[in-house]
Amino acid sequence: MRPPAPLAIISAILLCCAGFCPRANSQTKPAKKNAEATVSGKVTIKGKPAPGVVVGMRSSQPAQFDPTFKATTDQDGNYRIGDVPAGSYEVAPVAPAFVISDVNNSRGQTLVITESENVERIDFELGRGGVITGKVTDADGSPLIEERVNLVPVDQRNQRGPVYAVSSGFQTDDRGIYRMFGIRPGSYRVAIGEGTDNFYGRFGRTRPAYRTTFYPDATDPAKATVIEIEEGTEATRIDITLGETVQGFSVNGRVVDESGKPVANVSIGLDRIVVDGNNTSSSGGGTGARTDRQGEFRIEKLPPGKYSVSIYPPPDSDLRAEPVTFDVLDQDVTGLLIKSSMGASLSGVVVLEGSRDNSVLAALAQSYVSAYVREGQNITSGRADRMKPDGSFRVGGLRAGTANFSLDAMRNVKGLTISRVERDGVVQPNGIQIQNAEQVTGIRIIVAYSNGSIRGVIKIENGTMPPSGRWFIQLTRPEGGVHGSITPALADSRGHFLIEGLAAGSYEVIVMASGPGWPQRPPNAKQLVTVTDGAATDVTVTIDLTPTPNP
Amino acid sequence: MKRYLYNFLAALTLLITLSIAVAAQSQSDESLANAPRTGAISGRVVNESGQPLANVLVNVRAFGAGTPGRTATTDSEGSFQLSGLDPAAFVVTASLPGYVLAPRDPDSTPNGYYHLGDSIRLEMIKGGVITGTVTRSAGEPVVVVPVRAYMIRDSKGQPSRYGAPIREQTTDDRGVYRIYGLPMGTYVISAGGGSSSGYSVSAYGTDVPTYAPSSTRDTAAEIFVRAGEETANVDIRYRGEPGRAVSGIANSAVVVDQPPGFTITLNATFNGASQSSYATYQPSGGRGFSFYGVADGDYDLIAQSYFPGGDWVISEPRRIKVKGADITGIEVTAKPLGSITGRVVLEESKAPECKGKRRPLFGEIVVGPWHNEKNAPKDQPLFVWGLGVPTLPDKQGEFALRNLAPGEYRYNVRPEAKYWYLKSISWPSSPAPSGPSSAKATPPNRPFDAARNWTTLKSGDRLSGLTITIAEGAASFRGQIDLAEGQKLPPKLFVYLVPAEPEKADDVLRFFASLVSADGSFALNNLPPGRYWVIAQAVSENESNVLSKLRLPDEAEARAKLLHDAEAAKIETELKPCQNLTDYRLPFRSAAPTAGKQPALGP
Repeated sequence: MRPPAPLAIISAILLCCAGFCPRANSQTKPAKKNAEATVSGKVTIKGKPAPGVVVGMRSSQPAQFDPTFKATTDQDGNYRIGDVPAGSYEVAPVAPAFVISDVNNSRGQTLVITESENVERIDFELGRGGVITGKVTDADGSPLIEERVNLVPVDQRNQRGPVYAVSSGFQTDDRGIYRMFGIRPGSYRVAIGEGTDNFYGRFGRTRPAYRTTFYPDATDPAKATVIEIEEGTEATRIDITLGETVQGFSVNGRVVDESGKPVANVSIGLDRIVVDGNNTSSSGGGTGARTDRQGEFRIEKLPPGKYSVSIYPPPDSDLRAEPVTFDVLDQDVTGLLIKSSMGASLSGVVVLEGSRDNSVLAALAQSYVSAYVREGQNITSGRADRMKPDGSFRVGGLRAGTANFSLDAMRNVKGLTISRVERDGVVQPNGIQIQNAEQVTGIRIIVAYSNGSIRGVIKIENGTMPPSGRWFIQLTRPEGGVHGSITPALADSRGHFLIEGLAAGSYEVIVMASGPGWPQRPPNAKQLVTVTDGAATDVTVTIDLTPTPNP
Repeated sequence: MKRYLYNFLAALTLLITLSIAVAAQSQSDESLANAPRTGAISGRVVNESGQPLANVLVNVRAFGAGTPGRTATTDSEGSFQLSGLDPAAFVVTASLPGYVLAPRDPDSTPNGYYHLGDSIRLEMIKGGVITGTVTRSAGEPVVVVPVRAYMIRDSKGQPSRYGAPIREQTTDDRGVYRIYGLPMGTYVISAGGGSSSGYSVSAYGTDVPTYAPSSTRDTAAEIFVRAGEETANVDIRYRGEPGRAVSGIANSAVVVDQPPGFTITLNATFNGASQSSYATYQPSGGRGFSFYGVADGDYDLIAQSYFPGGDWVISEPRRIKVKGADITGIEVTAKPLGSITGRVVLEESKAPECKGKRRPLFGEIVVGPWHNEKNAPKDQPLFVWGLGVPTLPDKQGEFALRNLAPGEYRYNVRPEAKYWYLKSISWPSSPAPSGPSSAKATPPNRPFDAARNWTTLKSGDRLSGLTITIAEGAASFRGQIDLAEGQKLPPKLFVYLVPAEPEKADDVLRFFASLVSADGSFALNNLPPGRYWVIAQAVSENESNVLSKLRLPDEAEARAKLLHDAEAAKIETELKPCQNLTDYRLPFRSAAPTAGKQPALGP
């Protein structure tokens, strides 16, 4: 589709102006989405044209049902993707047996495209990926079925180019055989099993946990055989024999209320706590365990380690409990006691201000209201409730502290923000203070929908960007008033960026360099921009790479 | 979108689990005489040769509860146990990668539900494998293309029911795929098409699926897979033809509580069996739905959604003709399905021999709808029948069968206590016009026998007042077949009890059939006291579900014939209330044990 001519001229003028007047360079024009762009380029394998390769484009911030775009290369390796609306995209060949040769753009390229733009020479050079295949058996020689196989790069550099992720990952089939392909040249270890510190996905497993075992049969990574993969090589018979299983222990306990009576039918959650030096991290989730009529629960087959158990009360319950921490050493753990009590609650109404857009209303009508309570450094007690059709909500089972809100609709609809939260008509800029077991009513969450945007170009003076360099763009609002942060944007290789869903007002655009290869302290630049609702504001940010003398 | 396809499939799998019970043998008996407050279900999982299977994940779930249930893993002896369970009817499933549950024989294990104290034997067999290579015309491999196996007929050659399992694997860098863990049956295999998501670009999602060997669905090769066997070289020459897009929006007729989203399927009929060929999802508050890679042809488009409270809404099938162009702007409205509500009444016996016997708990009595397949609307995909799942009465005995598609229904009810029997299923009167209809005209204001007649349910009908009476005083009848010299036991021999009292000749709930074990023994339970004719008859080996079919309202002729044969055989017995008749010797003289002796009972 061709844009109306006057619009094209105006944008040309604006870009010129922006270039000439770096100090007053932000301009606005209506955000029109119907002028579509074209992206084209060439795919080569070892310098030779690669026909029949699909090149795909998807949104940089994809949602489940966003449209995607694709085209197939012709006999000369050329592709041309048409009818692309303006926006920010990831472009890459869909060639899972191959790797992109450019290690700095190993997953493809980011492109920020404006209306009716004709982006050319988005080229990709591919090399055939390596293959590793083998069989996984247990100590008895029986094949292990549907066991996940992990590829561990020896060289840290290789982690920049992860293997193409097949939806189901690489796992063994019914014969215990696996085949990993599309592997970037480098040195790798192949590992299987879960180990004691890799907790994710532990629950609902039918099989015993095996200690992480590296090819051929080492539990110590230092004793693993390293596999060298070059372009297109196939490493066969990388067979792994799993050794000892991680012995698991059972844990049982009881959930009681304030008067010591059993609490039946609550789900039990479990977190694994990993202490690594000064860092403590935890991960976990639901266990499938539930309390019986005596309030008792049992979790099976936990490998040794540090854990905490908590309760997951049903959504309409006000029950809450502090997690109980325990260690599994070399025997079953019994008699854990989780003392629950009635928590605080927050209730009120969600109000959309300044928009009657039907799709926004529909998204909002289905939304969950989540409350997060902070006390000191800890954010705990996040609970959610689905909004009623009249916008009312009630979130219960909360601890004392400072509560803030989020709506899941904010993830699905760009430009939906909580503009302020009121309690009994008074704005609460720092969150809602709640006391122990307090039933707080009269909350109003005022939500605004705005669709202003900032489109920018980064201009480099007195130098060039290193090949692996990146630009991040962060927005802040000098006058404050934003609940939640705006996700940082990434500029494409041409220095273009786009940030959408912004409320009207002034913003500070901060451009920061990242990535290795900068000659000095990574440069950055700031600029003030005024955004109007329903419009795109163009901005050019100039970065001067002239070396600054050390202070 | 693939994820939603899986969710949809998962939902269907759940439905299958609910409607078809697992293969097992249950030995619930006197152990239930004094029902404990809580108890255990234990069992053993073995392979086809009886060897124990370790590390099998067994799930035990109270029937009708919205909870995921409890799980246990079998030990090296194949054994599992779950204790501390509250009394209920339980559904038991088992999973082990690469294995499938052996198909349940509905005649030897008619009851698919378990109770506290049951010891269960589950048999799992290694699933079948289909493997091959997907290439383009010049022979180059098609890499990471989704390959799907659709079961079109089950192991008995019956069109697969209730959303046949669809298995998906992607090809590797050589174009090789391998789909394993397949239940025995007949399959068609397709590559490519039918999916798209905003997160990644699918190279083949907008193509028309190519069916093995290189065709559209109409001429697809049908591949029979046996358990544990591998069918190799099921290669696909990939056509890569662009498919059409079909898009529109689904709405709900129920506006109070918006459903979370819609699953939309495109169903096509091949050789008389409907196949859900494409599935997509319209998220809540969504702007609509789209299918990609749709092949030219005729489809029925159906939108459905599940409400958190347990009700489904479903649209009437919309006929779509795809021919050479995209289709846009389809609007479908999903409406609530019908329901039948009623109550279970327990009728105690005054007979002194029945004193102190355990009453069944309402929470154990599974009431299931059974639709008339012969008269079912042809444009409904089979999964619709899977939505109307069995239910349990509440503490007052009240039950609601929900999500019933329009059609004709009868009911499956089991008393679940040794000395109780199913006495009657009836409507207070014929609640015409929207109520049940019968094959015969029924006089008004008389109880209407809902066991002998189908209940007709029109779209969205809500019928109430069905009464299921379970009475105390049931007898049991056990014995042994006496064969004539040199005679062999036929492979499928049934012992039938048919009412000998003339006034009971019409009572379908007094017709009983039980498969004779290999050792010649038989056992019939939960029998109303009274006089019966006893007869043993062989049926064809392909017959299944003999008792259920014998009780179908339209099988009056088959019942009359059986009654006639039994009267002629002149073996009569009388069962007293709560009597346990054992060691009965039943002579069997097979005149000519021909296959299909009772054609009226078979499909």
